[in-house]
Amino acid sequence: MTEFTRPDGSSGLVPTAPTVAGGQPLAPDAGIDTAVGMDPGIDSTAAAGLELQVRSQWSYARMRFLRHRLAVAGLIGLIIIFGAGIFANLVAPYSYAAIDYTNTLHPPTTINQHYFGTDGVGADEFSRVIWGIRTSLEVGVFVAVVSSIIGLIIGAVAGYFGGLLDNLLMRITDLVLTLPALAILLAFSALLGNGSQWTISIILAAFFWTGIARVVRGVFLSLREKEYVEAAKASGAGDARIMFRHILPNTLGPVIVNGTLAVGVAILTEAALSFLGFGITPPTPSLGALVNDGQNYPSQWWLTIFPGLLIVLIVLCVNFVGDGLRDALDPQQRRMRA
Amino acid sequence: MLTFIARRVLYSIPVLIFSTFFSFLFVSYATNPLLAARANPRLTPHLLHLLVVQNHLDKPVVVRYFYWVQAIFTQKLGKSLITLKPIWPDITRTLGHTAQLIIISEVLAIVIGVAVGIYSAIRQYSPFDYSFTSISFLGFAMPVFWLALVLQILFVDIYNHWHVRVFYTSGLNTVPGGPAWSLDRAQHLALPVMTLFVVSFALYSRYMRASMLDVINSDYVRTARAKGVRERKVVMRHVFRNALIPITTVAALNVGGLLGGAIVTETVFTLDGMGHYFVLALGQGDTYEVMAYLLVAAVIIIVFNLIADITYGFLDPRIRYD
Repeated sequence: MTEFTRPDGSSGLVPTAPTVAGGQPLAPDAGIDTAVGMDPGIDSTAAAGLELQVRSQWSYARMRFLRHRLAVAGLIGLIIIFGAGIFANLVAPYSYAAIDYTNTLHPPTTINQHYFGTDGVGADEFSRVIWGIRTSLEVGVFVAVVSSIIGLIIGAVAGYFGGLLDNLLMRITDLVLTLPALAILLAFSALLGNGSQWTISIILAAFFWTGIARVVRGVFLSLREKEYVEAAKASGAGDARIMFRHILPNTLGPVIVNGTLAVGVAILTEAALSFLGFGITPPTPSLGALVNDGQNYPSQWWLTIFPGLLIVLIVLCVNFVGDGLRDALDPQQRRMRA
Repeated sequence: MLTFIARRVLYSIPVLIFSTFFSFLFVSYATNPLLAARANPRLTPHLLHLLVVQNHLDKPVVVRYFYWVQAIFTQKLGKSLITLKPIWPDITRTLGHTAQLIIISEVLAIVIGVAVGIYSAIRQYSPFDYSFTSISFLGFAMPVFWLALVLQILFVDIYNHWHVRVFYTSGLNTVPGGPAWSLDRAQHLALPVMTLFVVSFALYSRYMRASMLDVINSDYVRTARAKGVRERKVVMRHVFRNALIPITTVAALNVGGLLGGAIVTETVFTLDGMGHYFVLALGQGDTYEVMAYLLVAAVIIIVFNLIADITYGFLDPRIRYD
């Protein structure tokens, strides 16, 4: 069975392999049919001859993704954790800043729903963590979306037109690569930041787009010389149409993967900035700031462990999903991962 | 090759100038070196004016950049306008401590990471492979500061329970000198080193594994096996040596990340390194100390980028530099 990937990546017509009477596919070497598995219905019809089944590249990607057990586990984990963050006002038993001086530094207990204990002013750590997840989610998604869009546009224009703009882009990304990243981010957020998660997000997005721009530029550089682009040009398509209709869809795979992984990196970076006291500051809840707070109580382990553990879980799940997407969205990928 | 090196060195000069120029513009707009001086009640307006003129603070920021560059060469980075201390001794002292931290953890991470990567690749999908894959996934997802704090909590607890000092959880030394000094320093450095080690180890073992698998499936390895070379020799001579090439680049390019990790680790363990120095300077809004750190860090990263390029060309003869 051959997978026909249209150059624009929209959809592919996939003829199933002609089979002999025994129902065995003739081309067992193409990993996809052994791995993805065929619909049970195919065998009977395939016996009659060649059958064409319309299946878009996206449905293949979905199938490959769902086969990736860790990725699915990561996705479920993310839905649970981020769901709790989105519905923080329903999930959290207390408000973020509810103070109770009669019940400070209490270890984790189910009494009064203090699952993660209470902190130095008696606020419920579990509620604070849940609200912190929401902030992390906002930062991660904002940074990923904004930096992907900026990177996509700049990378596309630079890769397609080349010339001065391309040179400029490459020099900027070179420059960003030679900067001590965390130090520069710290400097920016110390000097521009006002403790709000949006300022931090904008600063992070301003640095993160270069990686995606490089990837997109690479794809554009290699594809703009392809025959199908020439064909499109010959049939009168303009630059904008070629860029967005014919080349851009091919970059979506890497961009989605990079964007997903950027969510994790952004959350980690934000947490580090907030931990050092230059990122998100109270009263805005943040997991990094919670760990920073916990640092003041070294013998109250729960104040450090739980917020940090949530960061680990979120980033772990994001990385699993990103890994699964990388395998799923790569059209060259034939090998299936267990 | 020589022309290539010369060109790369020449190219890094404008990169360095640009990056320091933009950092300087930004940092000096956003900080006020006179803040502390203005708050000092004993400083008369006349003295304040003198301070401004002496340090060219009345000049435009672009001109100040050139004064700063001049100060780098003529006055060894000049002095802080807030603490009025010269910067150079602080930088060299803290740089030494950071270098100890980074070099020890990197050497450990490379040696152990490469060994684990090799074994994971030749025993792909074995329990060994799976457990180290999980560990490295954890290593990638773990915030450095959190790992540092967990270690700190653990060893503070050990001390509180059993009154045994295994590792110190802050500072660099408690013994002023003498024969016990080295052991004391090692006890202080152990936890910061462990923290940085975990993160780098995850990176190197993953890269080494992927790189080994890349090479293992190549044609010349199959040829070597086909002509009857013993498996051990195939792995060590044909696979390992070629798989090591990308690791050198990864290790050299990782130095930027390590400096970032050092900032966090040193802050948690209050270790008198460059990163801690930077965070303190940043907290005070000390323009020249912040700039000194950024300059030194940028130089280190650029030098290691250069090393990455050159060693790659040296190790992989297929690369041609013309």
